[in-house]
Amino acid sequence: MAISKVGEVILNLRKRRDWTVKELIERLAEKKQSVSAGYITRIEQYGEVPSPEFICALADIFHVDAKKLLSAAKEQKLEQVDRNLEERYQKALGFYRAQKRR
Amino acid sequence: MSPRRPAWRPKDIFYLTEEILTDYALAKGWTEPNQYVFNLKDIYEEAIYPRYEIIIREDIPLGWQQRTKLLGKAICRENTALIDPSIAATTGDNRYIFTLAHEFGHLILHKDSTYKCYQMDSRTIFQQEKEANLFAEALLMPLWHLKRRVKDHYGLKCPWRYMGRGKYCFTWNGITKIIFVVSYTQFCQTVAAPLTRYFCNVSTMAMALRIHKLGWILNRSAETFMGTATDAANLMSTALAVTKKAAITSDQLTHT
Repeated sequence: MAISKVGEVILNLRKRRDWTVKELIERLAEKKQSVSAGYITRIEQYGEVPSPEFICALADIFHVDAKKLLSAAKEQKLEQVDRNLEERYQKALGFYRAQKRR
Repeated sequence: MSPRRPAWRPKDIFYLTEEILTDYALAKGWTEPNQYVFNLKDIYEEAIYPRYEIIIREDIPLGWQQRTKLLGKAICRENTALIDPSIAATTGDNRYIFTLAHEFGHLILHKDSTYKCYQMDSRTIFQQEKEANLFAEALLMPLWHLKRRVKDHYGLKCPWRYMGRGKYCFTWNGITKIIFVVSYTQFCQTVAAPLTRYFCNVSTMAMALRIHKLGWILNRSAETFMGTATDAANLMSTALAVTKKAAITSDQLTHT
């Protein structure tokens, strides 16, 4: 279980330097990572896990250790996949039981 | 006494929403108006959050106020929009979209209530609610796009005419249907229903109110538009309740 989500960490890092989302996108463009504003919104607000290359670029820009961010992102991604699979298996079981009853 | 907040002009609200929509169109890479398919979640992700950094929270039940359910609340200090979980995005209730846009309107237009002290009475609250409604309408159902869709699908340039109860002919995309209409509100809703899918799937009531306000339906009967939760009476009662609370807090502010 990740202690704090990757999105919250990135939001805090951005807020500490008083950057808007557009400034962050410009600095990422300098590092040759062109992203849309919607991607950053989904990372910060909806808990989407960014790709490892993106995390490395962010660690470069914010001058933090990339290893911690990557391990937190990996944990969060594994947890999401786990939950997703669990839901799908439960749903399939529910359908199977409902069909058997008929 | 603190001064009154200067009212937002509808033109300035329109310019704000145009900025947001152009940001969105640029982010999506659209060049022609025929490609526009509006989705409020996308608009929030691509245009509203990068510009205004508004947070949405849908997990706090908001309760009741003056016998009506409170569907949304905007907290300017935290830049947060709260939506009641009963109409959250997952439920598929259409009222969610207009409520969310209304709260965005509050947060964007009335942001200076965090650092400026304005007089708060029922008139200013009425004005604020009207401005937020205008913002939501201009964001979700922009006039230029609405005109284009009506012209493309209804093929009309002149407005509709309502003469009272009876059978009416509606032509959509060349297909004609005869529908028995009971009231003016139902007429507006029948006109508005096929258009909602082009405008973020907003509720038919919101679209009907927009068309009624624009004056595209000539009303030759004595009926008026009867909305559901947006009645003037409800608005007045909520305004009075908030005024009482605001009077207490403004006293505290003047004493400190």
